[in-house]
Amino acid sequence: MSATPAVAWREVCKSYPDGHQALRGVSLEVAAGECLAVLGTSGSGKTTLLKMVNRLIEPTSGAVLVRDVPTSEWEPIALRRSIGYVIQDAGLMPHLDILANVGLGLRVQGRPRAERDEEARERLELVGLDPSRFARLRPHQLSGGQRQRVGVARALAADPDLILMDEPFGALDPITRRELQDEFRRLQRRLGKTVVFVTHDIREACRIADRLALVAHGRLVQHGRAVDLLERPTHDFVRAFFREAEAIDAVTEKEGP
Amino acid sequence: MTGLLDLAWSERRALLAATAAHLDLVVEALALAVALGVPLGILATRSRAAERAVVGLANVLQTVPSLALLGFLLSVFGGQIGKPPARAALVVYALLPIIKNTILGLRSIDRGVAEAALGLGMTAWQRLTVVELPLAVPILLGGVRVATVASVGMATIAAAIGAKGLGSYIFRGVALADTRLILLGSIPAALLALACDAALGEIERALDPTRPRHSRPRAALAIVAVLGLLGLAAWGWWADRPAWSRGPSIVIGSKDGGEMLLLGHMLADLVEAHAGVTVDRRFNLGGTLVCYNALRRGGLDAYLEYTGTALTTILKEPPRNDPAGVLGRVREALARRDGVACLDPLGFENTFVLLMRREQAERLKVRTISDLRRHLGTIRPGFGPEFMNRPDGYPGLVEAYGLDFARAPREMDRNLLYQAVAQGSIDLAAGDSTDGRIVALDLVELEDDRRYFPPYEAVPLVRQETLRRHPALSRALNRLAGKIDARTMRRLNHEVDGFRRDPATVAREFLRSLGLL
Ligand SMILES: Nc1ncnc2c1ncn2[C@@H]1O[C@H](COP(=O)(O)OP(=O)(O)O)[C@@H](O)[C@H]1O
Ligand SMILES: [Mg+2]
Repeated sequence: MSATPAVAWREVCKSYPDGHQALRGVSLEVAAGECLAVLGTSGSGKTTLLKMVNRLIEPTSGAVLVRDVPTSEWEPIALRRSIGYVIQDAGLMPHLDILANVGLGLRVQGRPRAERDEEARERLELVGLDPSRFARLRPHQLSGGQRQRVGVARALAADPDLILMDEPFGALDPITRRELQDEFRRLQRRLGKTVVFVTHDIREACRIADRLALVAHGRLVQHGRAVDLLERPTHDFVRAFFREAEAIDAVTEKEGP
Repeated sequence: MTGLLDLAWSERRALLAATAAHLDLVVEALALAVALGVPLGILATRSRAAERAVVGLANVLQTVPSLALLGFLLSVFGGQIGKPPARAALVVYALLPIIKNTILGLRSIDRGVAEAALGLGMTAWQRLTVVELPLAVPILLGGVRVATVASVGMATIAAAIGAKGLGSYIFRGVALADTRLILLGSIPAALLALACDAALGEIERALDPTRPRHSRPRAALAIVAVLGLLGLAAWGWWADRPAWSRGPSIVIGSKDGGEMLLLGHMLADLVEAHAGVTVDRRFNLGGTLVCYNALRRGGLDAYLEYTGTALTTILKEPPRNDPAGVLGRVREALARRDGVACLDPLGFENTFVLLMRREQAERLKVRTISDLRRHLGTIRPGFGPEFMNRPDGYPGLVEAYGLDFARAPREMDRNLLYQAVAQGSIDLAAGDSTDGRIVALDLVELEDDRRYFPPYEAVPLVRQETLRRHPALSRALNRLAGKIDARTMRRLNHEVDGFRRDPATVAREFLRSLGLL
């Protein structure tokens, strides 16, 4: 990779205070405009890896570079404001309406009300929610899928070039999940954002990402395009992941979705 | 019950004013407690050590008994009585639920929400003000609600240190053993507690984002109710606003009990009629030390005291038997030590007396206390707890007269003793020489032939500084000097204790009958 990567992990290790080693020397890069899926079983260290990018977690050793600058040199608040962040249950503010939720990132950056409402409406349209219908509702009045769309709209509000997503569609029913995955992929292509997408679902990873990075027990097992991993797995573990997915697909094909 | 309604109707203005003052006290205290408790609660969520310190302190404060706390705050506030120390006491008790619920509210914020707030690049202050506090508000308000309801109850106790409010009815009712007055204070207090609870419940609900909004009429009703309560409190504040906004006035206090209320009203009426000064009446204060400390340090300008009590309780000297000597000693010592002037005695002596049924005393030929020695085996005595324990009470009596009763005295409430002798469940009781029930129940007073009981004269105590500021004051107060003998005092007490008449009215009638008003 010749151009500067949007995000780079260099020999990153993380030991939690209780002594647990969540990451054991991970090196990985994401090119600008690329969508990278970080794939692994639960507890493998995916979230730890992701949260280092916006300094919610600090590495014990090694370095994380964002736009070629080590995160340790970024002012955490400024760093976070320049990165979109989407989490599993969306984390919307229950006391604010949808418009205010989407515009929250702009609000904390001190942008005037009219401007952030305008931007928020635009982002709602972008994620397929009609602002005239949803703007004034509260999060608890929305379905899980709609809330997650709002979460994506919020991450896009300040127009960041980098977006982190931690199992964003993990809690949705399969049909809604599929719908959001496809829409999100189209959106990502259209906007050209760099995305780091954490998931434990290999089919989701294949559907959304340009490249996959497989993590197990705090180590990077293999990374590359989905076809590379499928055709040239370097590890039994990679094979196992694909087999599992095939088995499920075989069942769903027989039984119908 | 109709008696209660009549009384409530005739007291309606004063009752409304007392309710307003009560609510004002609670609202001010709660506002302060929130202003203090919420930041402390926030501080406690920042570190474990801070939490231990803050919650520990609030817990300890909560366990201080209320009367001890009031007494302590009286001295902290330099003897000032009334609202400031009472408000401080309410704040102290309101802190714990407010701090605890602030902590609970801030801790109960959904982890996803907290993480999203961080991920959006909020500063610590933004997280607190935009996310954490707004989300903690419903739980925090729950704490305010608990504190408010408790404060409405607590505020009644504040009457013991002269705070205006519904507690003054309750204390007067206790002092006069009048259930109607107790109910007159406690029913509005209970209703006030319910109203505050409901109003805060509505606010809590309105601020909870996940609960459905109310229908318009109900929301309107809730707003009217909240505004009404705040308006009442504001009126209470206005009526009791600090003295700088009013004309020349002094504060006259009184200890608890019917006799003290009567005499307090007389002193206040005389001052208002003859000294051209308005009087703030703070009656039924909780005991000699509350009154005297307030007087000494400027919270009160005058109250009525017994010379014997001044000698033993205030000056802590042994009891003496010559009234003139006691008066001279008290006058000299209080003036020199505390700048307190002791005016002229009202005339009667208030002392302990031993009482028997007339029929029994005549049958046993008991006229003096010494005569009791012939009947030590059969007489059944009964005394109040204070008499049993005071050195100038039972222990000294036994020694002075060699009264070795075969039956140990029954200890019972001072107020029940008179009835108990009259009905024959005891044969001998110690009472107050001026108590109206001596006349009403036709009891006889045994002569103190060895002059054991120290005679206590009633004298107005006034700050010398106040006398200098209001030159007409000492003449106005001394108009009552020598005007009330023991028989008159008994009769007046009987009007109040026996016939349940309003002490203020009885006092005014008496002054008129003497041509003093
Ligand atoms: N704050 C923490 N303290 C101790 N252990 C943690 C902490 N956070 C995560 N871990 C542990 O580190 C490992 C990796 O966690 P995580 O990165 O959340 O995994 P994933 O997102 O892949 O499920 C897990 O075993 C988890 O239990
Ligand atoms: Mg995770």
